[in-house]
Amino acid sequence: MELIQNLGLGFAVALSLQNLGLCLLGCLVGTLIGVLPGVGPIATIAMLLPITFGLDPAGALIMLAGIYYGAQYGGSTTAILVNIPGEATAVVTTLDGHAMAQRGRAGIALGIAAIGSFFAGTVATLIIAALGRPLTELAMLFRPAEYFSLMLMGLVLAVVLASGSVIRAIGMVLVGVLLSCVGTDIETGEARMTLGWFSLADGIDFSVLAMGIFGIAEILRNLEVTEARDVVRARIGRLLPGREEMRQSAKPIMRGTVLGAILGLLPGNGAVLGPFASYAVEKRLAKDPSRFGKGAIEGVAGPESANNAGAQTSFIPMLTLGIPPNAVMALMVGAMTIFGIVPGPQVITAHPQLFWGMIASMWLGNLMLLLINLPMVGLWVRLLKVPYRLMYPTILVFCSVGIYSINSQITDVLFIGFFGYVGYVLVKVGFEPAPLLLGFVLGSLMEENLRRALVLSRGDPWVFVTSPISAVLLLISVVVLVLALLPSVRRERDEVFAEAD
Amino acid sequence: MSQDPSQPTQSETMRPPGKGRGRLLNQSFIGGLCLLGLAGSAFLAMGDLASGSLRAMGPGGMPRGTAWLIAVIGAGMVVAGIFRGGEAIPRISVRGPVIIMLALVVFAFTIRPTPIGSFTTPGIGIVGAGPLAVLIAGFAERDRDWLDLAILAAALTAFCILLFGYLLNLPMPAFPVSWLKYFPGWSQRQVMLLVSGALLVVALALYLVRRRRGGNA
Repeated sequence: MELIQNLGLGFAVALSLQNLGLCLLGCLVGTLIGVLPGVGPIATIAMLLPITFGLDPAGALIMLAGIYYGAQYGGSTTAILVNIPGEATAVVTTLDGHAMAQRGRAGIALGIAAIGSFFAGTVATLIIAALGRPLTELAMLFRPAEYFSLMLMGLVLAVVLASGSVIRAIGMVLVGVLLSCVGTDIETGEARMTLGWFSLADGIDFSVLAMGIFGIAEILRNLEVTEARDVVRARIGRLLPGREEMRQSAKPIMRGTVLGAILGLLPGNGAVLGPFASYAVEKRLAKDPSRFGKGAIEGVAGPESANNAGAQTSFIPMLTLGIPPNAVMALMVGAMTIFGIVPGPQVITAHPQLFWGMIASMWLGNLMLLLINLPMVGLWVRLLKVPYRLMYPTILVFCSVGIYSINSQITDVLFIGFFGYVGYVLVKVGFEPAPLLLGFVLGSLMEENLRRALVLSRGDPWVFVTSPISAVLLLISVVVLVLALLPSVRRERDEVFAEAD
Repeated sequence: MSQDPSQPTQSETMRPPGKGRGRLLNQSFIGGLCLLGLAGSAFLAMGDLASGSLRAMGPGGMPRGTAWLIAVIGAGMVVAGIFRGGEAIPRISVRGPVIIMLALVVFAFTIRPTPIGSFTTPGIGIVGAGPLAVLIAGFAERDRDWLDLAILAAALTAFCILLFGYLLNLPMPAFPVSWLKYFPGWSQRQVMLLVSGALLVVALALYLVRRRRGGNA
C-alpha cells in the first residue's frame, strides 16, 4: 500500500510539465550520444552538469538519469545496424543483432530489443521502488564506523569488478581520495595542499575534474584514432515482431531481466556483466546453439533486457546507500552534492519527491524511449554520418562555455585542459580514470566518517571490528580483495615462467 | 615463445631485462614513477599539517595516510617494472594535445579582459572566443574543411549564447561590453538575441554556399 502511495507521489512529480520535458530531453540526448561513436554518457553528463545548475534537483537528476539509460538504448541501435557497439554493454548485441540486420531483419531486431528493454525497465523500476525502503531502513542502523566500512566495501567491489589490474585501480582510487583532500579542512579550517592558490581554497571542483578527465581526455584519445566507419544502409524493414518471434523471445527477456537486475544491484559495476551473462545462458539453454551468432533472436532479446535492467537497478546502491557503483553514478552523486543533498539513506526521507520522482521518471523514460526510437530510427542512423572532425570542436567549446558559466573563473577553463592531459597520460601508462572519480566522490565522505567514528570511540581503532555490521562489511572487502588478487598473482607468475622459457 | 625479428614493435615489450635502453619505458615502471611523484608532491604540498592522533585526527591525517599508500603502490609498480617488465607505452601524440590546449587557453584569455603583466587581453566574449576556439581546434586533425568549420563555429556560438546566456541566464560575457553603447536603450538580453540571430544568419548563408558547391552534408 505504502509502495503505491509512494509511486503516486513519484508520478505526481515526474508528470509535471517541466520534469516530463527534462525526461524527454535526457532521453533524446542519451539516444543521440549512444548513437554517436566517440561520445559516451560519462563525458556527456560531465559536460551537461553546468546546465543542470539552474534547475531544481529533482528535474536535474531526472534529466541526467535519462541520458544514462537513453545512451544504453541508442548504443544497441548502432550495434544492430552498423555493428558498432555505441556503449560497452552493447558489445554482445552486435553478435546476433547485426547478423539479423544482414539477413534483412534489422527492424525485427530493433523491435525486440526495444520491447525487451521496456519490459526490463518496467520490472527494474518496480524492484527499485520495492527495495528502496527496506534498504534505507537497514542503512539507518549505520553509524560513522559502519559507513566508513560500507564505503570501503563499495570501493573494493568497484575495483574488483572493473576490468584491468586491481592494484592499479586501487592506486587510482587512492589518487582520487588524495585529490578530494585538497582544500579547506572542514573541522579545523586549515588550508590543505592548496599551494597557497586562492582558487583551490574550496577544493578541486567536481565538474572541472570530471569534465577534464572524461570530456577533454576523450577528445585527445579519439583524435589519435583514424575514422573508419562503414555506414551500412541496411534496409530496416518490419519493426514489430510477429507472434512466433514474440514466443521465442518471451523467456529470454524474462531471464535476461532477472539476471541483469541482480547483477546491477552489486555495489561494483555489475551492470556491465549482465548482457554477457544473459547471452551465455541463452546459448546454453538453446536447443540448437549453432544458430547463435547467425541471427538468433534470443541472442538479442536476452542481453538487451539484461542491459536495461542492470542499468536501472545500478541506481539502487547510489540512491539508498549513497555509494556510486560506476563513474556515471559518481557523477550523479557529485551533482547531488552540488545541490546540497548529502547522498545516503536519508535522501529517501528528507527528499521523498526527489527519490520517488526519479524512480517514476525512469519508467516514463523507458516508455518515451520506445516511442522515440522505433519510429525515428532512420533519423538516428543518419546521425552516424556526423564526422568526428566536427564533433570534437563542439565538445570542446561546449565544455569551455559550460565550465566558465559555473564560477566565471578563467582558471577553471585552464584546469579542464590540465585534467584533460592528466586523463590522457593516465590511460597511456595503463591507468583507468573511472576509479579516480569514485575515490574523489567518496573521499571526503570517508574522511568525515573515519574522523567522526574515531572521535566517538575515543580514539579506539577497534571500533571498526567490534561493531558487527562494520566487521562483516570489512570481512567481505578483505575476502573479495584477496580472491581477486590471488589468481592474478598466479597468472602473473605463470607469465614470468613463460617468459623464462 | 619465439620472437619474430620482423616485428620490431613487439620486441620492445618482449625483450628480456638487461638488454637495450627502452626496457624501462614500460607502463608499470613509468606508472609507478607517476604515483611516486604524485605522493612526493603531496607530501611537499602538505608541509607541516598536523596528522593528529587517533583520538583527534588532524587535517593532515587522511592526506598523509593516503599519500603513503600511493607511494607504496608506486614503489611496488616501479620494482615490478624493473624486474618483470610490463606493457610498452603506446605512442603519445603531440599535435592533438597541444592544439586542444591552445584552443582552451585562447578561449580563456579572450572571453573577458584579463591582465597578463602589463598587457591586457581584449575581452571579446563568447561571440569571439567561441569561433576562435573552434577554428584553432580544427588544426588538431590533419585535414580540415574551413567552410564546415566556419558553419560549425557560427552555429555553435549562437547556440551557446542562446542556451547559456539567454535561456539559462548564466552570468557570462556573450559579447564585448562596448557593443552595448551601439544599441542605446537595448537591454543586454535583447542584444544577445540579435547577436545570436546574426550568427545563425551567417551560418545559414555559409551552408547555402556549401550546398551550391555540392558535396554531402
